[in-house]
Amino acid sequence: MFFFTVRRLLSSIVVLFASSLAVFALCVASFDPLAPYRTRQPAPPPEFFANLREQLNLNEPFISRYFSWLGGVLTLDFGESNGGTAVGPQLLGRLGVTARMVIAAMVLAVILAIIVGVLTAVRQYKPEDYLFTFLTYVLIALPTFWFAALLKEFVAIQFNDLVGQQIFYTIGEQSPAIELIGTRSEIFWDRLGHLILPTISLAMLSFAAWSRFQRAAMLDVLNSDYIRLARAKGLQRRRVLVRHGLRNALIPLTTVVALNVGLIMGGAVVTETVFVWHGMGEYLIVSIGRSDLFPVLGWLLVAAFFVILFNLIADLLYAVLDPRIRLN
Amino acid sequence: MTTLTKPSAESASSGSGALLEVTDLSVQFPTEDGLVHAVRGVSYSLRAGDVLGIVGESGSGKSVTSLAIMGLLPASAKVTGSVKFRGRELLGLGDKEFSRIRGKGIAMVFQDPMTSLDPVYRVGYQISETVRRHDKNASAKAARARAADLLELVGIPNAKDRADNYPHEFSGGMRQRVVIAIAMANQPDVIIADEPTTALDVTVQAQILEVLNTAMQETGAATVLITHDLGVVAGMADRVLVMYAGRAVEKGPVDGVYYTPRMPYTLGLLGSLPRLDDAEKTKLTPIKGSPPSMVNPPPGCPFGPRCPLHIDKCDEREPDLVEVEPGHEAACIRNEKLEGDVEAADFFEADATDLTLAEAVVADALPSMDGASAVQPATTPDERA
Amino acid sequence: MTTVEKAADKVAPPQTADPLHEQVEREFTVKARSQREQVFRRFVRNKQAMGGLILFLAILAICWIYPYFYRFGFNDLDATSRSVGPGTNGHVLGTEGLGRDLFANIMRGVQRSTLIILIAVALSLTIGLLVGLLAGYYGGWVDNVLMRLVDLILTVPGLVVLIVVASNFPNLRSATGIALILGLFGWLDLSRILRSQILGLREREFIEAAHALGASDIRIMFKHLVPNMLGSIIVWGTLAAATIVLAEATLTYLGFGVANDTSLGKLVSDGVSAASTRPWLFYYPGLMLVIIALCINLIGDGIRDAFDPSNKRVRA
Repeated sequence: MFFFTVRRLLSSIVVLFASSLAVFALCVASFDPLAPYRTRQPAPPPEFFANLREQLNLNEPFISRYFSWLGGVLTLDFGESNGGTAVGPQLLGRLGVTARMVIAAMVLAVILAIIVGVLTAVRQYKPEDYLFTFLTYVLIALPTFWFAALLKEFVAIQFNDLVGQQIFYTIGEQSPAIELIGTRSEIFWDRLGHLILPTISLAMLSFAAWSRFQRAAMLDVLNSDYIRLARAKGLQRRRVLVRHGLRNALIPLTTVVALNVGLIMGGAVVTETVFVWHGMGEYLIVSIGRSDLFPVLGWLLVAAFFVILFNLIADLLYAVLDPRIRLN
Repeated sequence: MTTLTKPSAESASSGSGALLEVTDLSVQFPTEDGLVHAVRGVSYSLRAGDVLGIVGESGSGKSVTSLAIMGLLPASAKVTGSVKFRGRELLGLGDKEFSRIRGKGIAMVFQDPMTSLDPVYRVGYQISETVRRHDKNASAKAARARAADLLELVGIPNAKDRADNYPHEFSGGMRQRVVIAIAMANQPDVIIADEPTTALDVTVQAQILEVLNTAMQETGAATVLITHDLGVVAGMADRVLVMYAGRAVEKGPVDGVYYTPRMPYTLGLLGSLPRLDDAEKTKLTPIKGSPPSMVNPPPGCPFGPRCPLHIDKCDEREPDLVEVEPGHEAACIRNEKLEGDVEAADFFEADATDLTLAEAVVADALPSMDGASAVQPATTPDERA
Repeated sequence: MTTVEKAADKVAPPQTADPLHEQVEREFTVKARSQREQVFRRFVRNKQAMGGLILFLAILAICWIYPYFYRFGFNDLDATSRSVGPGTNGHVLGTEGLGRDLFANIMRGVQRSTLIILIAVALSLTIGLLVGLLAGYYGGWVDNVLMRLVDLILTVPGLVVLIVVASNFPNLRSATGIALILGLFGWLDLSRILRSQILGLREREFIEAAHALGASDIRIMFKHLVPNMLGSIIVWGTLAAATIVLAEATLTYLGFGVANDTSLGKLVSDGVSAASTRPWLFYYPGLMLVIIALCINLIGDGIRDAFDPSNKRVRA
C-alpha cells in the first residue's frame, strides 16, 4: 500500500509539471500582452512596443520564458497582472471564497446522490423510482446559469417576501464590508445566507448525474452473486444492503466524483458570474477579457493542481476501499 | 475447540417426519416474451441424512426450485405450492422470519465461487458473520476461532492465517471450500448445493465433492445436490430426481433410476454419456433437438418432440408420475417399453450431427448419402394409433 | 396463440398438417431475432425514449416548416409591438426589445443549434474515433502517448479551455465557428471509451482470424472493430449532443460564444438579463433548451438500454 501511494504521488507530480507546460503553451499562444496597447489612440510608436517587449521578456525563447515562470511559481511568485498587481495573493484570497461554494456543493451533491441513488435502486420500478428518475433527467438537462438565474430571480425574492426577512442573498458572497463591522457570528451567518443559493445551483447538476450513476452501480451490486450468498447466510435485508451492497456500490462513485472536479470548477465559474461573487470565476473572466497572461496562467495552474490532487485522492481511496487494487 | 454452544441434534431424532417437504412447487417469471413457467409442480421430501440428487439440462428449472425454497427469487417471481421445513410453511414468510432459517436451518452452496464471495471483506469475517448472526451470544473472538476451525475442516492449509486473506487471494477451488465452510458454519439441517462443481476444473471437482462429503458428515445434514453431471449424482446421492421442462419426470433410488430408467429422457441422458468401461467402441446417442421454451408449453408431454417412443397419445396431456417400481416413479405413458435391460442405443440414434428438429425432419426425408433408405422412425406403424 | 403462430411461420417451413411438423412448431415458440431487431424492439418499447424521440422530431419538424404557417420571420422588426408579452398582436410568445417575435426566434435558434450539434458531433466523432482506434489497436507507446495527451487536456476544466480558445478567435463567434471549437474538444471521453472497448475486442478470435487471413489494419479497424462498437458510439453521440447544446449556451452566457448569429443559447443568455422585467424572454427559450436536452438524453438512455438491458435481468 505504501509503495502504491508513493508511486501514485510521483506520477501525479510528473503530470502536474507536464500540465504546467501545456498550460503555459496554451496561454502564451492565446494572449498577446501587447494587445491592449495596440488599440490606443494615437498609436504608440514602434520603439514603444520594442521597449515593452524587452521589459516583458517577450524576446526570450519559449522554453526560458517557461522556466522563469515556473521558477517563480515554485517560490510562490505567480507574476503580475497587466495592471501590476501580484497574482499570487489575489488567487489565494479568491480561492478561499470559491472554495466555500465548491466544497459545500460537492458535499451536498454526494450526500444527496447516495441517498437518492440507493433509494431508487432498492425501490426499482416503484413510484419513488420514477419520480426521482424524472427529476434527475430534468436537472441534467438544465443549463446551470439558467437554473441559477431562476433561483435568483424567483425563488429568492418570493421566499424572502414570504418569510418577511432576507434569508437568501443573491448578490455577492457576503454583504459589503461586513468583515469590518460585524462580529464573527454575524459574518458567519451573513456568508451562509449568501452561500445557500449558489451552492444549490452548483450542486444540482452533479447530484443528478451522480445519483443516476449510483443507482446503476447499486443495481449492479444488488444483482451480484455475493449479495445472494449474503442473504442465503441468513443476514437480514438491511444489513445485506448496507454492509455488502452499499459498501461495494460506493467504490465506483469515488472515481466519478474525482473525475468531475473539472466540471464542477467550470460550473463554479458560471455560478459566480450569475451571483456576482468576487471569487476565482470573476478573476478568470475579467483577466481573459483583458488578455492578461499571468493571472490566467496562475488560475489554470491552480485548477490543474486541484484536479490532479483529487484524482490522486480518488486513486488512493479506491485502493483503500477495494482490496483487489492494492496488489498492483 | 470453541466455546460456542452446538445446537441440539434434533435432526437425527426427528423420527419419520420429513425435514423438508416440497409439494407442487411452481414458479413463474414475467419476461419480455411473456410469462415463463420455469417450475411446474415439483414435489419431493427430504429426511434427515438423505442425499437427493436433482439432475437436468440447463433451463430445466432445477436451480430455480432451490432458490424458491430459500426464498431468494426476485420479487417479480410468482411462487405457488408449498415448502414445509420441519412442518413449517416457508412460502410467504416475511424476511425477518425467513432469514432466521437461512444459513441455519437450510444452507446453500452456489455455483460460481469466483463471484460468490464479497470481494471487500476478509474470508474469516464472512464466515464469522453468519456465525454471529445465528448465535447472538457468540463473541467476535469466538466466531473468528470457529471460522478458522471451519477453514481447516474444509481443507485450507494455514487456516488461521488464511482467514485474514481476501477472496481474490484464493483460487476457485479454495473459494468454493470457503463457501462450503460458510454453509456448514451453523450446523444446518439441510444443505442445498446448486451445481457446486460446474464452474471448476475437472481435477478440482473431485476435491470439492470430497469437501462436500466432509460437510455432510460433520453436520449430519440432509443434502440436495443439483447438477447436470450424472456421474456426480451416482457417486454421492441415494435418490435422484430428473427434471425436464420444469417438472420432475423421474424419481427414485439412484441404482433403480440409473440401471432401469423408465422415462425415455433419462434413458437418453444416460446414453449420451461416454463410458470408459465399454468393451468396444460405441457411438454416443445424443438426444436430438433442444428443450422447449417455457413461455407457452405445449399441451402434451414436453419431451414429445424429441422422444423416440412418441405416439399421438403423448400430445394429449402431460403424463403424471406413476409408480413403476416401489419408490420409483416415472412420467411416461409408455414406460413399460423400457422395462428390462435396455440400452439407449436401442431407441436413440447414434448421430453426431447437431441438427435442430426442423433440419432433422428435412434430413430424414432425403435419401441418405450412401444410397440406403432413410432411417426408420423408432415407432412402428401399427403403434401410431 | 397468435404470436406463437406468427413466430412459428417464420421458423419452420410452412408444411401440411403433418404431426411431426406441428411438434417442430411447438418447439420453437420464441422467435429467433437478429441483434439489430432486438435492439430496435427494445427501444420502441421504452416509453420514455419513444416519447423523447417523437417530441424531438416534432420540434425539429416545426422549426423548419414554421414559416409556412406563422406570419412573423425571426428577423422581422415589428415596431408596433416591442417587448410585448405572449399573445399580443399575433405574437404567440411575445417579442423582444426591437420587436422581433420570440417564437420565430426560438425556432430559428433550434435550427442553428441543431446545426451546431451536427457539426460538433461530426468533428468530435472523427477525431475521437481516430484517436481511440490508434490507441486501442496499436497499443504500446502510441497508446501511452495518446492517452497521456488526453489526460493532460483533461487536467484543465473543459469550460475554461473552451473560453480561452474562443477568446482567441473573435471572428469565430458564429454558430459554425462555435461548433468547430466545441467539436475540437469534445472527443476526449469518446477516445477513452473506444480505446478500452478495442482493448477488449482485440483479443477476440475473430480479430486474430482476420489477421491470419491477411486483412490490412485499416480493414480490420473499419470492417470488424467499428461495427462492434456502434452501440457505444451512438450512445456517446446522443449524450454528446446534449452536452454540446448546454455548453454552447453556457459559453454564450459568459460572453465567449455565439455573437453575430442566433442560437438557442444566445436567446437563453439574453433572456437572463430580462428575467424580472420581461419574464417570457427568460422562460420560453430556457424551457425549449431544457426540453431539447431532455429529449436527447432520453433518446440516448433509451438506446443504451436497448443495447444492454442488464439492469432488467431476471435470475433464472
